[in-house]
Amino acid sequence: MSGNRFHKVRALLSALILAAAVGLILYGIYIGEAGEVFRKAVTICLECIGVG
Amino acid sequence: MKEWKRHLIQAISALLHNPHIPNFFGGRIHQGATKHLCVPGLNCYSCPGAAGACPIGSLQAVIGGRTKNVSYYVSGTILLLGVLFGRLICGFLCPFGLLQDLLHKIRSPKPRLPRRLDQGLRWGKYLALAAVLILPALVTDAFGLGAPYFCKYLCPAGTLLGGIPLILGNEGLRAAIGFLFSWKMGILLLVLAGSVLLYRPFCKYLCPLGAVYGLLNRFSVYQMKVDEKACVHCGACERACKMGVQVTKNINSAECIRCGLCKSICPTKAIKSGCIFGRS
Repeated sequence: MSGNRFHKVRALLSALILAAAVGLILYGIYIGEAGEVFRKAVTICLECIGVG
Repeated sequence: MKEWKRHLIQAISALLHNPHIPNFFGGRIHQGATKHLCVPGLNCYSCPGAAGACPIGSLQAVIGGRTKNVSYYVSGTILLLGVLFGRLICGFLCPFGLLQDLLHKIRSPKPRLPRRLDQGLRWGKYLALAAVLILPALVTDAFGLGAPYFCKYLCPAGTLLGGIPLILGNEGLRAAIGFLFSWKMGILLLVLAGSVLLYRPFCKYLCPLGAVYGLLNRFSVYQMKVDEKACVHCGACERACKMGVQVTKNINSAECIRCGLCKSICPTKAIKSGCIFGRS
């Protein structure tokens, strides 16, 4: 594959992953995952700090 | 870019990851709305100063929950950050990366691990990533809940930025410490001492977040490039690289944290960086 074509394929893959990432985030927010993350993040995680 | 400028950016980033400084003295954590968001670096959400959620901790919390074994929101966030920047986040934004960088500046012998051992140990971060993705879903308790195993048994960032300040500031937590805390302190001390001798051992061998970002290095919007016409193959870049990247052969390697040292040291300015959507 020539350098220019390889570069284009890579840029296309980047764009696809970018779109997939945005889609995943939006779907995650839609099903309430951001709230789930919030609830976990505002309580002290005993396991994370080595107590639980 | 001069190294001190990168360290300045790292320090600002560490402060933005942990702006709630007074909490360090009160034995409590921030509980504001910004904790809906995952931060780019490895920064425990139980750190008293933390503004946001640790992506690895959040991933395990959702996967280990009762309702589902996959996390769309957190995976999407990690994927988004990784595909935009790759391991530039490790080199410029991660607070635990800054700590390791600073520790490595302490004068001491700087041994080089034998290449085969070094290469073998680097698979450790992918094992840690597999453990993050699989264990909380598979190894569950009687209620169907999985523990955040990486955070619980390995993560030194959680012990340093979360465990130690909270235990110092909170009497109730102090009374609850046991073998697990000693184990995690042991891991932390090992990583800190290792960072004096070796460059960023946690990033190279253990960090699951670095593993994901590394896998995305090749496809990230931010790319590094060697201009073949300008390169004189003097080897200066590879001698300078502390992550052991073969710069001229594989500049967007999963090991490159994009610190830019190779770029600044290149005598012919053959190493460039920029957006993948620009001209090839």
